[in-house]
Amino acid sequence: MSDRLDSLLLLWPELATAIGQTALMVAVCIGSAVLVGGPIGIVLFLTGPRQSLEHRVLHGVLGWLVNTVRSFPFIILLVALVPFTRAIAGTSIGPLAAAVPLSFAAIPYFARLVEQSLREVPRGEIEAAHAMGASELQIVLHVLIREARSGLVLAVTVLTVSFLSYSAVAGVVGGGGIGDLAIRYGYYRFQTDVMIATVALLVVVVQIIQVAGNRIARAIDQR
Amino acid sequence: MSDHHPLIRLASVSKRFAIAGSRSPFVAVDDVSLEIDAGERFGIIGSSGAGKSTLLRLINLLETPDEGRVEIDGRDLTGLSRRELREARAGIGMIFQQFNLLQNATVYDNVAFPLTIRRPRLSRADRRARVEECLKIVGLTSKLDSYPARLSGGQKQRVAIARALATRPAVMLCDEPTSALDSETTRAVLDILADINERLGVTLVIVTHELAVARKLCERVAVMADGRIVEDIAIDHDGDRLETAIARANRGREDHASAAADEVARTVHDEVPSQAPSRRRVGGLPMPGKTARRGTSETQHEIEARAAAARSFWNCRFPMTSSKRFDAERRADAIASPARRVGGLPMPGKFAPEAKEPSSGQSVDVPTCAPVTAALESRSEQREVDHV
Repeated sequence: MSDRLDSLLLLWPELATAIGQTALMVAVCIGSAVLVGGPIGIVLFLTGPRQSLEHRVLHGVLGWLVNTVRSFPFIILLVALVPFTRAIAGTSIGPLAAAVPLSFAAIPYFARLVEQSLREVPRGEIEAAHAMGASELQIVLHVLIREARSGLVLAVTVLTVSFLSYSAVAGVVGGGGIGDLAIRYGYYRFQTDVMIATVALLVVVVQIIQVAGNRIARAIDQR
Repeated sequence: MSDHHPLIRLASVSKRFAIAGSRSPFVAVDDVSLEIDAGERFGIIGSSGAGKSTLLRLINLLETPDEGRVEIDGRDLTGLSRRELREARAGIGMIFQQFNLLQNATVYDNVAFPLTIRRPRLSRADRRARVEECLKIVGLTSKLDSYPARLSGGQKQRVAIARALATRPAVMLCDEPTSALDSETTRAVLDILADINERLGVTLVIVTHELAVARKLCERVAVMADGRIVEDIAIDHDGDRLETAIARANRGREDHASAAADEVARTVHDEVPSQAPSRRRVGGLPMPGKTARRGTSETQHEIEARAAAARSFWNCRFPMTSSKRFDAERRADAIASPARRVGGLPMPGKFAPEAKEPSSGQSVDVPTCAPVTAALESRSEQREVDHV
């Protein structure tokens, strides 16, 4: 028992680094998903059938792109994007480099989630805003985002949890992180205790993220 | 055209919707022409699917007409750019059956919303003053920080009315404004609408399937069937004709020909229907002494006072930038002109004695629109019983 505790304590510096790397990867990936995927999701929604900017071609092309990227197994995407990653991050190794393919996968994922959340906004409210003379941008800012905000928070929550686990795969390109630690020590070196500790840590983190997301969503929902 | 300018003019407008799996489109509005004067209270009635909501939505171009022109105060909306249309819409308020308030915004933010988007240069203090003023008109001053979910249906509709008033529109379009409300709340909302028309000179266009609403509120009613206006009736001159016209319009629908609807329009003037008295009771709205009371109740002095009040409400503190033609003076003139008095609606108190009528004659031969009315009335009665 004390042996195991010792080995975990010895591992602490490495675990701390891994936590930092995971946090960095997930933060970059969520940030770019919200900043890029969010607007794509809004455009997907607005150009959809029976919406105010209905545009079959644009909607079709965007939808096809989103589906295509989402259908790639992440590990394939990771490898296929290596040249792209090098071009953007300057290297293909390390957490920042791993954040590139992670973001690439997260953007269409979040776009879909946003589109779905916006569909929950009652048509009548959008129509009322049109009747008052609101522009599309004003409708997005004052109606869609406001009315769908709790759904959007839950979407970010789901995204974070998913990509926390995707980030483990990024270890393949030397991205590091908690998942990578679990594989290297827990699996390759048969240190089951390390594996259990890291997985337990991830379980706790996921629970915290989900509970926090639910609470925030409930607090800002006045419907 | 000489001096007479209608505020709203629809010229041969048509609207068709494509139906999935069908080659021929559904004609929702079929070559309708219509003029509504400033200050009028105009009703559009008909059974569901008759095209009345579509017609209403054509007025502020929520639906773009396939053919025809839509003019507001002499300006053709169909020819405007998107930007110009948005500004023009600020001069046309609209309320809905389902209220359509922002659920995640407080009462204050809801009423301020049209100002935020259309009058961004209004100072905070001015905006606050305007919001409070509008909420005062609808009699709701204590719930500024509540969210719509905490309000009753009637309160929600009042917030919606205040919101529609915030940009000081010349016209208010009402799409089934009371259909989601019980009879008592309906009365209160209709009182507010009448008040807005009387005091502020806002032209009302009301779509409803409830005869009671049309009779209480409107001076003129268009009956729609199969996308056409089959009757255009001045209500206070001829109380009985409303129900018969609807019954005939509906019979026309059953015969399934718009030719039949034309027939209705032609014959309705010639025939005096024998069942008229019983039908009248079904509608539940005999209006004792209504015409007599009209016109005599208001002195010239009172009219001028009302016009002055309107002038001060629409004063130039917040000049309307949408269309200089929608100016306060015109509005006030519309109120002060003798013609307005004919349409003058009896104010609060008037509706009270009529409230119990609808239940009495429900078994009689009913025009097709009436079951809905009856159902609504009986539902609200049910609710009242529950309260006891």
